Amino acid sequence: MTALDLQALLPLVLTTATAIAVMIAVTITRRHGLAAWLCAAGLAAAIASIASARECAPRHISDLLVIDSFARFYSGLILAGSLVVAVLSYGYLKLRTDRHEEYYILLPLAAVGSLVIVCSANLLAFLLGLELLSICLFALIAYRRTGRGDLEAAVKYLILAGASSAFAVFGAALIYADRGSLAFGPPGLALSSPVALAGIAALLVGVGFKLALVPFHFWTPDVYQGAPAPIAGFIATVSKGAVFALALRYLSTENLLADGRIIWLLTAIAAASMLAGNLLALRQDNVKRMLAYSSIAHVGYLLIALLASASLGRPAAAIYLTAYFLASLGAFGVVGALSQPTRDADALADYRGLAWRRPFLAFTLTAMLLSLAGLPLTAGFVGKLSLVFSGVSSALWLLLSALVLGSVISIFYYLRLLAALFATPPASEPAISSPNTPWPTTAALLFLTVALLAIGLWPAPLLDLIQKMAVAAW
Amino acid sequence: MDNLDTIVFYFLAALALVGAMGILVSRNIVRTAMWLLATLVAAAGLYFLLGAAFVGAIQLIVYAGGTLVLIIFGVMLTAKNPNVSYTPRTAEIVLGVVLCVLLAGALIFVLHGTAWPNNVKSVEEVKRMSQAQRDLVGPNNPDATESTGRRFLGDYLVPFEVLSLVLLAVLIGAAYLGRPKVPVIGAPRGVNPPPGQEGPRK
Amino acid sequence: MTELWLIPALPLAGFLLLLIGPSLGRRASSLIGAGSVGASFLVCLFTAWSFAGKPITQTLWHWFTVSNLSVDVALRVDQLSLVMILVVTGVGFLIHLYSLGYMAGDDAFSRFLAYMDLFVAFMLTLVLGDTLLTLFVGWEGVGLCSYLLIGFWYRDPSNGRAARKAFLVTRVGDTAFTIALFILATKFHTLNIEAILTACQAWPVGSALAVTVAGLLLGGALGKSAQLPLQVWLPDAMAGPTPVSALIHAATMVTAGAYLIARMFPLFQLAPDVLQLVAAIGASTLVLAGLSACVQRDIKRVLAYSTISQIGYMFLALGVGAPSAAMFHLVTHAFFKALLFLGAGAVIHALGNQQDLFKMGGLRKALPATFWTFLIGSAALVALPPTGGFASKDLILELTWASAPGARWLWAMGVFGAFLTAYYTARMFALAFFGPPHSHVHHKPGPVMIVPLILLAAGSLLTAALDWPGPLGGAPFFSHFLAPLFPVSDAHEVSASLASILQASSLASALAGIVTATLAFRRFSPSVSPDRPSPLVRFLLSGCGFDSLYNLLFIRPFLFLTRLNRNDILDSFYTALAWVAGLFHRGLSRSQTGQVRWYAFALALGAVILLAVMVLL
Repeated sequence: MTALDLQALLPLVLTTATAIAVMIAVTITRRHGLAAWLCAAGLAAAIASIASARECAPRHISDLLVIDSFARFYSGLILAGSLVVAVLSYGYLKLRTDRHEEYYILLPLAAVGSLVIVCSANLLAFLLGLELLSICLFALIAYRRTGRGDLEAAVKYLILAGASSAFAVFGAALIYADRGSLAFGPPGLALSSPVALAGIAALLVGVGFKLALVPFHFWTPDVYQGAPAPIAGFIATVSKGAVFALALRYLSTENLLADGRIIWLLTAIAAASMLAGNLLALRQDNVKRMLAYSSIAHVGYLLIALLASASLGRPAAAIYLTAYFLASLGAFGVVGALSQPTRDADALADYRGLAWRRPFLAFTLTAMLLSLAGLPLTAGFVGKLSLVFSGVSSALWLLLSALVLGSVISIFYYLRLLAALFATPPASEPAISSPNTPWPTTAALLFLTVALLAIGLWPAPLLDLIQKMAVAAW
Repeated sequence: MDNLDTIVFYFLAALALVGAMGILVSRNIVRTAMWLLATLVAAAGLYFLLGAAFVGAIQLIVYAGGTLVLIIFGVMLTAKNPNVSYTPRTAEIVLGVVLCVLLAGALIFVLHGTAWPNNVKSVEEVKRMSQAQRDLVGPNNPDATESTGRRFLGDYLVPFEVLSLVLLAVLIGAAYLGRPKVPVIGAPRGVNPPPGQEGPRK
Repeated sequence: MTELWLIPALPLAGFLLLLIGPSLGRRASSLIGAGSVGASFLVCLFTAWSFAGKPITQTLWHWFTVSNLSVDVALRVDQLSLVMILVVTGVGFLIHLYSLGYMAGDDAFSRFLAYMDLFVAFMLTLVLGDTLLTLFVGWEGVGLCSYLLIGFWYRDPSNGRAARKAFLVTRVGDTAFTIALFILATKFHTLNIEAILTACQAWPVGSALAVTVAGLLLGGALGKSAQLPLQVWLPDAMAGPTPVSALIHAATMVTAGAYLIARMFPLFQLAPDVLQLVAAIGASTLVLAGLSACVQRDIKRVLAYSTISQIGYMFLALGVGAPSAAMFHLVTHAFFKALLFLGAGAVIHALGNQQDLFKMGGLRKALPATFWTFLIGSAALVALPPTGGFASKDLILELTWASAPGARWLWAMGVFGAFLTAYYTARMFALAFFGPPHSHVHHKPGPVMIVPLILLAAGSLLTAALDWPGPLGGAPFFSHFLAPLFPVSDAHEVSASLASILQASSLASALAGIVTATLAFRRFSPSVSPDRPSPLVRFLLSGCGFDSLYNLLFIRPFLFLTRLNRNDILDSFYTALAWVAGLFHRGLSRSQTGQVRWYAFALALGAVILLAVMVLL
């Protein structure tokens, strides 16, 4: 571990330091505001430190981690997502009367786990990061402890994450048995050996679970429904984004995307996810479950970028993921902002006539839903356009048809929610009445909306950045 | 020597399998924990057989001694009815068995179809390789533990620290989740615990 | 002056601020609404003052690059757009000022000003656009604002219908425009106007491509400018508040079609057939609309048909190859037509929303300021000296005569149009301001409404100096200003004597119209006029029956087909899709049992399938 290593690892170090700092602060004095501020400040410092890692990139840290521009870009995305979740959580937790400070210790730790996943160059690091992320999420999902769905959600996540991690570790062991090393290629795995193939399959189970792909998606609605709204946002974005980045890196460096079987499998999984995710959301009245199902479909869309050629597919993946981050965090943020202490605002009736009662929240949610649907002037459109370009250039017609079909179906349920926002409110008292939005939540939602619209209108700067960073040379 | 190795291996493997089956089949939670102990001990034995004395010892200390004891404590302190059992439907059992047979079959097929060892040229090379690796961490190297320790604080410092973060997360999460319930103001009936069960605020 | 973005940005900022207008209060809304346009006008003045003859371009940002088409968002000021932005912001500012008084009693005051500001922003984007795509964004935007403002009083369904009609008819034109954009983008791989105009010089004169593109662009212009055959929406658009009619449907938006043709004129010059079509359409429209205006009862509909007719003059000028004359008429028309509309609005407002000419009368004494300004506006419309209308219409007619021997009949139609213009203008003026009063004045317009009228009247007179006819002692400042873009050719020179004869004939035709109207008015009294007008009058009243024609040609067959298809064969595809989706939804939802053992089973099953595929295939 040299000083340069530390400089490259600065984002990880700072995020860890954030968690430790909050922990120490908690022992001195228990104040929600202080913990939240420390957490946010630490995450912001970690984001800023990504720039400092530029000089020593690309750098291998002891053959387990690698800090290159790809890792730095996705680290930035993850830390930004975590920061937004932290800010949104402040307003969300203020209403609940339980202890809040542990949340701000577990959140940065989950971010550290995600960062380790993104920076991993070795299956061991991937598994470590996976474990850290999962464990923090167990506690965070059950955080409210009301016993009305959240403990159930946490236990379901615990059991299924444990099962999928078991498959992933088993897969890593089989790959090790074949090759003698857990490091990522090159050269690619010897795909003639059944052990290696079995190992890859088992590894894909673990990855598929975290990404909520069909047929590993069943946990998604229950967990999203039971978790606090900001944590549902975290699971939907940061956790998926980290594992997706890893999958991209692993499959590319091991040259697995050239293999017919893998292509067949990924195509089938992607098409199934796109269709099943959208079909399941079709008549869903619970907003959180609807967003959960739609997130399944979105990762299905992302797999198109994975299967497309590297030059078009990787930028498409990065831009789509960024747009997806913004829109999902915004949507879950609005859900959280509307929530009461006793329950989250997940019924469709809670949103009826929202545009007349809380115009800012309704406007934010409108922008987010339009972006998720992929309508122009939003970042989601730019992302989807890039995806379609990459798909067309690689002639992935089956997947593109599934994308089109899925998008058409998705417009129905997004617009259903949108229409409810603008409906005339019922004469009686609204189903949910929450206090005024605290300013950090407003600031975070405003930032997300502005970023969403700015990228939709003027995507060039982001596309340049992605071209420089997220398209690595392997 | 090879024969003894093989016999011991089969014995430990059988113990592990029997223990696993016991976990699945047994109706009593405490008995399940005991079967788990059997499996863990078998795993530790396998580590010793492979010459990884350090890992074997850690397995016994941490898993059998620590985790299992914790599980039993937890079960005893919280289970309302230690004899509670859960009976699955017949269809579920059949489906589960079929699936497991398929999975086992697939894995057996894989393991059988692989040319072991498939990434080196000859058996002699294998023996030489294993010897070299055994020399590093095995019983022939009295400094095995020390070199492992050096590795942890040298090359593998980052994963070591990440592991400690895992433990920290577990600690904080468990401590938080285990706290007594706090009443929510304005909640409908059934959300708050009945008065008298709240306990001191920690 | 390179900060061109300020010019559309200031009204846009006004729009955004006015979105929270109701919470800002009347005074702040008024200040923002009118002030943003006024500030933009000042910026335009500054740009004009510092303009040195070379076009200024400002690229705002690079919008996108798709395969080999690269589009920027850029603004450009040259002589043509400079004239337009001064007119849009100047006249626009005066109209905004007027509407502060006109809409003062309305609840949705700030919504009105917000829409008006948005319109001005889009119109400026249209005019300043350096790429056809930026222009198109402005084009669509003004269409949207026109829809919003026509249907402003949305609680009355007929206003909504009028707004929809306007939107749909202009859509037909917009589709043609879009196809032209696609063709140009495919051919030239750029949508930058300068680049296109230079590159298209490679096309031979009269080539099919030039004719197609010019024809399609013409289609778009016809829709926006309400010329034959897409003129049916403008009379109904009078359902909007009068300042809207003044700004959008007289001074600015409807002239956008003429502006487009002028802007793309080098392209049109490559398709002489299309230019002839432009002139023919212009001439026929001006006669048809003039005839319709002669029998209208609603004062705003007279002015609407008059607008259609005057824009016909602009198209006529463009078609005979005199774009600077067309632009000059655009400028003078903006002033006097806005003046007439605002004056009509003052009359309507004063009489308590009375728009029927037969119920007006005798307002000469009651509304003196309105009377005198309306007089000046009417004189400009009729093209009497010394107004700007005289100078511009005279220029158009002169150039029409001089353009080609075959254009003499176009000139004759223009002169007949002058007769009609004079007739309906004098009729309108007399019915409103002379004779016995049939309604009494509720309240007079305040200074905030009078001052714009006076300023517009002054403008109608002063603009004459821009291009006063040479034989009468003037100099063609305007044509010289636009000369770098539209060179004046000697072929269009007429001798001084011929010019005087042409002037005299058009003046005579105008005077004849006034005399005819006066005679008709003498014999007229509302109580005598028949309730069932004669078939000819009814035909002209309905805009020469175009609505009925379109109803017969398009709407009735379409409705017939839709009634046939009521149980919808094609729709069954979509309902089938929805039904299948619902089916799968129900099926899949049943798989979400909520039981962990089922989820774990699925996980393991997925693992088995993955393993099988990987190992067996």
